[in-house]
Amino acid sequence: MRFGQEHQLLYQLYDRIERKYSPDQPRVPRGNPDGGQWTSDGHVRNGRQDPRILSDVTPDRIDSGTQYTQSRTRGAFGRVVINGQQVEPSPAQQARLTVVEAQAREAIRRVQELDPKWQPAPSAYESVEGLIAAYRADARQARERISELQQVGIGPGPFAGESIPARGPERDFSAAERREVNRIGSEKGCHTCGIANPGTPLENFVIDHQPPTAWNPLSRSQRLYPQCISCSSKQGNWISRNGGRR
Amino acid sequence: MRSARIIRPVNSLVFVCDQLGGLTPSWQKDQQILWTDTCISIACYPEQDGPTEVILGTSEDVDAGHAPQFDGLLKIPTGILSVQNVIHEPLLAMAVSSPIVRVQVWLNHPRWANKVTIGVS
Repeated sequence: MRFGQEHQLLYQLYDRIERKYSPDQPRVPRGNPDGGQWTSDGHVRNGRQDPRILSDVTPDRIDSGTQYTQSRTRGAFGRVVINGQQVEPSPAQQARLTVVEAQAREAIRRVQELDPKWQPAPSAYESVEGLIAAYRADARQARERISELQQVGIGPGPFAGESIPARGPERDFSAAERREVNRIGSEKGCHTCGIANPGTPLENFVIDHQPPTAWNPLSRSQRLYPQCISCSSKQGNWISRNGGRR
Repeated sequence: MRSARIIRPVNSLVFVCDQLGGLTPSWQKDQQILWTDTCISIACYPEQDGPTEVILGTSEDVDAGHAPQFDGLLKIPTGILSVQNVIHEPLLAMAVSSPIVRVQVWLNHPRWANKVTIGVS
């Protein structure tokens, strides 16, 4: 799945709210306090755990089969507290908040699979638009960190194509595994830099575990990728500089 | 005094430093030996192509008979010099009598050394 596709429903919701109108979207019945306003279509359902939001409105309990028209219509970002003031984002802002928060959370999750202690630098904001920008900044920082790690061989690199499953973290590769990784390397190049020449005297690609055995904090299952000797050296240098095994 | 091991180190790298570690030098492309005042990084023979013999001893005992590829000073505050892999596992070690020692490194090939000799004095 391409990064971001998992939020397709959120994008659709955002698009609908930005267009301000959807003939299929239900409204709160006349006579209610929010009468005439759009109700949630149910796509926005994730809660918010960001410590920067001091108090979100807690949705009322929802009983099965009950028609309801309360604050749930505002989604998870019905109200946010900014500088001690309760601020009510517009529906469009709520949708954007939901999308950018999900994007930031997903991007940070990807980084933390490899670097569990990593956190984006905190951002200051004074408005809902500022909060949206802060989430975007978080996601951007996370993408930059992923790219930075990829450049040093932590995580499958930008040129990663095929790979084969690793039997374990050991480096007792079979002849068949060596042949297969060399084949992938000859077709796709080094997974970190893309170069087709492994740069080794016998022209064998380095068989690279990903996540690297020395940097697999969550003990995820590993796969084997071809890597050139130069990127392997850079990876080892980075691991050593960053304290060795994780 | 002399000790040796035949190894295939991960990432084809070994580091010479104090037993408690040192500041790993910044990576530079195609550089066989890199160093800071607390750590020397040495590229070995590519691990998937073959092993490397690493020899550690006093310079007097291990002198390879030609000019060393590295000759410099290294801080060893605990008095135990260590040859380590990328995850800081010790491969070889020796006691030294000074917190700053002279280290010489000889490689038997300018690019694909499968014999790395580390002399300490």
